[in-house]
Amino acid sequence: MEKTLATMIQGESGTISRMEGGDEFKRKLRNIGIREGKLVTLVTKQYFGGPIVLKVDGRDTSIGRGMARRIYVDV
Amino acid sequence: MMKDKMTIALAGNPNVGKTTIFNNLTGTRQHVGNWPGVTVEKKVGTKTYKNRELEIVDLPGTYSLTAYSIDEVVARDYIVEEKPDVVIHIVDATNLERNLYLTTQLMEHGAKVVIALNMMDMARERGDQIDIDKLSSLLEIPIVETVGCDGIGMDELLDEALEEVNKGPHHHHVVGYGKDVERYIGELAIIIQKDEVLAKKYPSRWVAIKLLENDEEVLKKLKGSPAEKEIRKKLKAIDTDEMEAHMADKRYEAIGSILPQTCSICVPKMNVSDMIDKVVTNKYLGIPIFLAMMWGAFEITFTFAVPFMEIIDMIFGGLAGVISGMGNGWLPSLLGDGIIGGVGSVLIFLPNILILFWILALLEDSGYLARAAFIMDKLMYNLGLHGKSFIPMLMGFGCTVPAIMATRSIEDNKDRMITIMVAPFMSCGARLPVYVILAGIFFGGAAGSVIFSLYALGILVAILSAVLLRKTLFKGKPAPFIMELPPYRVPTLKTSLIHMWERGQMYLKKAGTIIFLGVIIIWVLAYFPSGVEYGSEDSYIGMMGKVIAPIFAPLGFDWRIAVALIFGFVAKEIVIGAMGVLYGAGDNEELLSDAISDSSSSGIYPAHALSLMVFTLLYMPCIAVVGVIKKETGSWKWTLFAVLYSTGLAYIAAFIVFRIASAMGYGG
Repeated sequence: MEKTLATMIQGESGTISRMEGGDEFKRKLRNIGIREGKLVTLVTKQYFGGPIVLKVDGRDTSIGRGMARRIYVDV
Repeated sequence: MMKDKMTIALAGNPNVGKTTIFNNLTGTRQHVGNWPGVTVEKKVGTKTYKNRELEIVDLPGTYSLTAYSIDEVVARDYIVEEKPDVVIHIVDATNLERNLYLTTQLMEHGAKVVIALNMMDMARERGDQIDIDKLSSLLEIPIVETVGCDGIGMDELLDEALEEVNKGPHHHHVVGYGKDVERYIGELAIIIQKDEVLAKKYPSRWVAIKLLENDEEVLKKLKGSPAEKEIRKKLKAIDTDEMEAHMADKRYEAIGSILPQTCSICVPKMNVSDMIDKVVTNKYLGIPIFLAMMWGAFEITFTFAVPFMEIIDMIFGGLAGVISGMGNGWLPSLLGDGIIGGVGSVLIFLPNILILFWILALLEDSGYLARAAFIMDKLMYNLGLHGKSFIPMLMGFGCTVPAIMATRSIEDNKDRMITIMVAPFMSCGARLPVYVILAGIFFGGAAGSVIFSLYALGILVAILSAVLLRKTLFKGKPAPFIMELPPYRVPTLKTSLIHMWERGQMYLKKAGTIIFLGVIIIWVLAYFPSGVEYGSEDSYIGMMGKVIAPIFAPLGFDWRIAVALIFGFVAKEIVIGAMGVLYGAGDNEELLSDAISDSSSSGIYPAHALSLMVFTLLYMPCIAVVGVIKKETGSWKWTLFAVLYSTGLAYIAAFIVFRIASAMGYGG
């Protein structure tokens, strides 16, 4: 099932299927190792649409909810 | 033997331990901390090693050679433009894949690279097995195992770096981008060769790749090149959409083909960091925990410092007693009224400063600072600030200068400007003495709450100012937030104490130089013309004070406070030092606190004290901060704006506070 990072629930894992957005957005994510085909786990979400923490390769990265909505994951 | 000079650059992802290794190599003590973005400027150190003069350059962290924020640009430009003899690429052994992404870019650029595989102890501890020889031979790059915090592998690293330089140019392993893309790269590279200047300065394959990736900085370099027209024509004919994604994939593919051969069990499990994060970044507990920690930090700063302050107070009291035994004349007055009254009033706060910085160091080293930025992001976003603005603001509690420097890691210029403008409202350590002394005298048991409220007021003003600036001068939305959260580490007593002592030394140095000089000038102005009563309205300073006093009268300040505030521009501690000089008049054994506690003679009542504290909190930042604002914004206009805005705000706020408190009967 395809979800976005923003709709995943805490502790859920999946594989990134696609990322929507501008070049710079995608480049930034790729540079820090977040890219298609990667296994991600949603660590926490802040309330009221705040940022989320995701785990890729054992490393935690925090990204804004808006960005999280544009990253699709196969759960 | 002849000494040759060579330059070594330390590069790598943020928070992999570059500065720790730099400190080990050069014997310096640059600031390190466990969060990405500690180093925002390149730092140069030297070392003589095996008869070679080494210039070692510590660069800010970067994820790739395509740069966004100012600190990343610094790193990239140094590698690309200055071309160090060798780049020591510091790689976090616990996160190989992403770190090696930068390696592929360095290789592509043709720089001579030696890898320092850092944090090997942590990788081993969690069970990773890395075949270093194999990794080295596959990458065709020498690799040295290091543990930065224990100084392991430093000499080996330099040996490899020297050897790499002596090797002369050699072929680098490069990432292949597939038939089609390779054809484009080849064609572009041939055109680039036509521009001799460009081709000489940068490897043409690298330029071609960056052009295909739409790298703005490289596109800019084309301007005025004889090959520009042809290149642009060529680029137009190529569909560069998705090209960058393709290239990133290929680089990761290359890494992906190497890693499984060299590293087993490189995927970690749930660890202690995760468990702590479950609690501290929890959606409900995150903010309460953060606030509780902040409150605890202030409580500790004040309560633990008290016995130490009493000791210092006793020492100065004793000294003052000796001096008053010397009789009258200018020398006892200079020593007693000037130096002890002035510098002593400032030095007494050393314990507070040390404790405050110790706590900040613990926060930094543990990795919590980055979490705090995450927790506050949403709130900050709603207020028109970027989540990353939070770190500079928190650092502002220590000193505004590094806080403003830390804004370099904020990518968007508007986000950064707003942060620079509001950071001075976060109450720095230099303002603390003013609060401690005034709140202590006039509010007794409630002193802690008064001081906490001042900090809160500073935060509130910063926030409201940010909202205002975002709605007026810097319209738009904060840029999206991406930030790596470093793993937690148990802060070591040694490093945190070193941090604390460094800051303590700076405070002492300040007390011995700027503040010392400041209070002597004030004393001279208060003692002369000769024959007048010390510190009276007939002295030079009294005359000066009389001129400016009317401006401050609506806030409840007399001429002595007005003068102290003016001199406080040099350093905010001087407000207290100057008051110590001016109010200490008469009896040498009296330190400032005793002199002003008698409201009927000093004219300072609780309302005046509140007004003065609020004014000190908000008014123009000290000269060092003004300097750094000019440097970081590159604009006198914005610097002037920061000065006028804060001073205007301080005036209004102090006026309101004074009127309300007076109306409530606290004005004497």
